[in-house]
Amino acid sequence: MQKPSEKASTYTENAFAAIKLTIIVTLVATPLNMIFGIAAAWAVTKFEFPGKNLLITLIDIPFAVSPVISGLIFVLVFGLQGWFGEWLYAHNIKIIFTEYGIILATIFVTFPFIARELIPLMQEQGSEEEYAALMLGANIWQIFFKVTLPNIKWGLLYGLILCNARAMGEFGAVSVVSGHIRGETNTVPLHVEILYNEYNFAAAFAVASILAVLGIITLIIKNLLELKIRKQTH
Amino acid sequence: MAIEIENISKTFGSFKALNNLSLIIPEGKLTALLGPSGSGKTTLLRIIAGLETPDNNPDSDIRFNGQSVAERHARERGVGFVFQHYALFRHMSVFDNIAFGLKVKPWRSRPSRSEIKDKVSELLKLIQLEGIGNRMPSQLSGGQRQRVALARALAVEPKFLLLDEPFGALDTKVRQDLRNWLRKLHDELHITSLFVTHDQEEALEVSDKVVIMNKGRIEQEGSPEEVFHNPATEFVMNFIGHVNLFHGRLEKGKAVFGKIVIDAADVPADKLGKDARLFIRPFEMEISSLNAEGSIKAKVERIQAAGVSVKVELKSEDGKVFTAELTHERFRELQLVKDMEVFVSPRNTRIFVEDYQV
Amino acid sequence: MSIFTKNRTALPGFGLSLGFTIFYLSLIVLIPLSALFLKAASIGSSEFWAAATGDRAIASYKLTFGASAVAALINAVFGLLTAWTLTRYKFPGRRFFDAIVDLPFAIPTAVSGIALTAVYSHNGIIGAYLEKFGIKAAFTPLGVTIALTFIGLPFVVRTVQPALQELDKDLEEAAASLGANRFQIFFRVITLSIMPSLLTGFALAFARAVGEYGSVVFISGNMPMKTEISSLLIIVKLEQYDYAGASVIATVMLIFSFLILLLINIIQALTQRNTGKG
Repeated sequence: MQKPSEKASTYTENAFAAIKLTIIVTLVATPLNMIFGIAAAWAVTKFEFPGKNLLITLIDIPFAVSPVISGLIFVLVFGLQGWFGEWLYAHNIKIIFTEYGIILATIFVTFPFIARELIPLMQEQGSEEEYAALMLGANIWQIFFKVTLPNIKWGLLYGLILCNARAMGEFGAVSVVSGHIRGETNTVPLHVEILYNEYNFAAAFAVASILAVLGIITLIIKNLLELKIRKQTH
Repeated sequence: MAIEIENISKTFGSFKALNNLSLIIPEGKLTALLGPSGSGKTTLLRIIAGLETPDNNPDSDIRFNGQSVAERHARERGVGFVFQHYALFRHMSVFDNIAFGLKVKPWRSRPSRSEIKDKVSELLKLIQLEGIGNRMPSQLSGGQRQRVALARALAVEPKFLLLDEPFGALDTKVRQDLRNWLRKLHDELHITSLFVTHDQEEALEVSDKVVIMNKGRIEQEGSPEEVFHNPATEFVMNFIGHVNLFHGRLEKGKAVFGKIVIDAADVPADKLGKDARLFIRPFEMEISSLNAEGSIKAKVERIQAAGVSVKVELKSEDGKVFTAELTHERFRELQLVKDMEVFVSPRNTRIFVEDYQV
Repeated sequence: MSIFTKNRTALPGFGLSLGFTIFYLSLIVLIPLSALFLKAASIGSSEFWAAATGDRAIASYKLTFGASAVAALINAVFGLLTAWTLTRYKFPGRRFFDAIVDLPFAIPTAVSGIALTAVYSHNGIIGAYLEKFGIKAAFTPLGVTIALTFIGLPFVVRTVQPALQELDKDLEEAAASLGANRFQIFFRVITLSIMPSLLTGFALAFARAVGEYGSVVFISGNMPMKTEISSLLIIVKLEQYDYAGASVIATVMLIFSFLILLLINIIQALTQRNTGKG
C-alpha cells in the first residue's frame, strides 16, 4: 500500500510525464507537417505536372481515415506481427508502444492540415510576385522567405494552429499505438482516459479541463486569424 | 546590346504558339511586339526572359549581344521584366520593392545600405514619385504601380528591358500619359527595350520598330511608318488601322472588284481567274460630286462628323458598304448629306492574291 | 493569354519540393495504408468474408452506421437552421455563437467524451432529467447517437454557411414578391438551392461519425453486440492479437469512407456543372 502523499505525487508525476510527451509529440509532428505542407503547396501551385490532381487527393487521405485505423496501420507496419516487426525485434528497436509510434500516428492524423490551408491560398495568390523576384535575381530561398512567406504567413499560422490542436488532442490513433504505459507512453488525452477508467473522476476532469482550455484558446486564435485573413484578402 | 532570336518554336500540347521564328531586336531601340491575343507575342517575350523554354531544336538559339543565353537560367540573363499586372511585392513598401533586386545580390556584389538608398532615391526621382517610398503598393494608383514596377526592374541595371502589356490594365487616359512618359524615359536611358501590346495605336505611337505577329509567325517588321504605309501582308493591312475590303478576281491585264477596276498589266497567266482582295484605307477614298474616270457611284448612308476627321459610310450601286474619311474642310466643300449620290475613287489601293501581290 | 502561361518551369525548386512531397506522402500515408490492404487481402476471401460478417462485426456496423446516419440527419436539420440564423440575422453575440459552433472541432475528443458522459449519465444534469421519463442516454445506442451528433454539427454548419452567404438575395426577394410566405420561402427557394452543400455537409458529418472513437467510447459503455462501435471492435481484435480480423473490419470501414468521399466529389462536380462554376 502506498501512502496517500506518495500516491498523490505519482499522480502528479504521471500527469507531468503525459504533458511532457504531448508537448514533444506536438513539437515533432507540427514542424514536420509544416515543411511537408509548404513543399507540397509549392510543388502543386507553382508547377504543372501529370498526376497533380491525384497528388492533391492523396494528401487528403488521412482526413478520410478514422483515428483507430490511423493507429492500426502503424501497428501493421511496425508491430511485432507487422512488416518490419521481426527485423525491428532482432535489432532491438521498438516503435509500437513507444513514443515513436505515438509521433508517427500523430503525424498521420495531422498530415493534411497545413498543406490543405496553403494550397488554395497560394493558388489564389498566383506566382507573378515569385516570377518578379526571380527576374530580379533572387534564389529559391530568397524568393520563398522574402516574397512567398510574408504573403502566406497568416494562412500558414492558421494551419499550424489547427495542426497543433489536433496533435495535442488526438486520442484514437494514439490510443492504438501507445500501449498505455503510465509515465512513459501516455499523452494527456490518454492520461484522461486512464484516470477516468480508474473512477478517479476529479483528476480526470482536472486534466481534461486543461485540454478544454487549450481547445478554447485555439478557437479564439483561430477566429482572430480568420478576421485577419479576411481583412487581408478584401 | 542586340537580341537575336533564331528558329524558335514553342508548342503547348497540340497548339503551336511559335512557329520557327527568327528576329533581331536592335540595340538601344524601343521595339513593339504587336499582335492579337494568341499570336504568341507574350510567349516570345517570356522565352527571351527565360521564363519559358522553347521547343528542343538544334538550330534554335537566343543570343544577347552575340552570346548564346539559351542554356542560361532566367535569373542569370540580366533581363529586366515588367509584368502586365505589376507584380509588386504587396507586403513591401515602394522603397523595398525597388531595392529588392539590389538586396538579394550575393553579398560580394551587394551594394551598401547607403548606396541602395541613393539608388532608390534616384529611381524614385526618375519615375517622378519622390517622397512616396514609404507607401505600400495598395495605396498607389495603377499608373503609379506600373512606374514603380519599372523602377524596380531598372534598379539592377539590366541589359534589356522586357515589358509584357505594360499599360494593358490601365484606363485610356492614364495609358496615354504613361506611354508618352515611357517614350521620354527611353530617350533618356536608351536601354534596349521590347514591349508586348495588342494595341496598334500604342505600338505605332511609342516604338522605333514594330514587329507584327500572327499565329506564331512574324508578319512584318519595320518602322511604324513602314508597316502603316506599306503593309506587307493582308493580315497587317487588316490589323493596322481601318480598312475597306472588296472581293474580286484577276483578269487579263486587270483586277475586277465589281465596279472598281484596277490596272494590273503583268498578271502571270497562271494567276488569271484567281480570287483577289482589294484593300483601301478610308482616308485614301476620294469623294467627289462629279463622275470621273474609274470612279464608282455610291450613296451616303451615314455621316459621323464628331472627331478630327469626318467618317462617311457609303453604299455602292452593287450594295457594298464601305467607309471614307475626309477632312472637315473637304466635307463642307462637298456639302454631303444623307442619301446624297456621290462618286468615289481610290487614291491608293492594295491587292492581295494567294501567294502573289499586285 | 493566361491559358498559355500555365506551363511554366522557370521557378526553382520543382524537384526538391515534389520529391520531398512524394517521399513524405509515401512514408507517412501510402506505405502504412497499403500495409492494411495487404494484410486484409492476405487472409483469403472466405475468411475475409467470415471476419467481415461475424455477428459481433455486423452488430457493430449496425450501431456505427445507424447511429451515424441518425446523427448526420439531426445535424442536417439543426445545422441548416443554425447556419441560417448565423448568416441571415444580426443579433448580439452572433460572432460568439458562430465561433462556438467549432467547439466540437477544437476540443479533444476524449474530453468531449467524458464531458458528455458526465452530463448524460443517470446522475448528470441532463441524464437525471431524462431518467424521470424512463429514458437512459449514457451506455445505450442513444448515448452513441448523442456523441456523434455533437461531433458532427460543425461539418454541416460550415459547409452550408458559405452557400447561404452566396445565395442570391434577389432570389429570396423575388419569391417574397410573388406572394410566397416565409415558410414557403425557406423550404422552396432556400432549401433547393443549397441542397448540394447540405448533402455534402451531411456526408461529411456521416463520414466523420462512422470513424469517430474518442467521444463515443466513454458514453457507449462498450457492451459487445449492444453498444460496441466498429472502431472499438478493431481495438478489441488488436488486443487479442487478431491483426487480420482488425484489418478486415478496418478495410470495410475504409472502403465505406472512400465511397462517401467519392459521393461528395460527384455531388460537387455535378453542382459545379449546373451553376457553371469551376
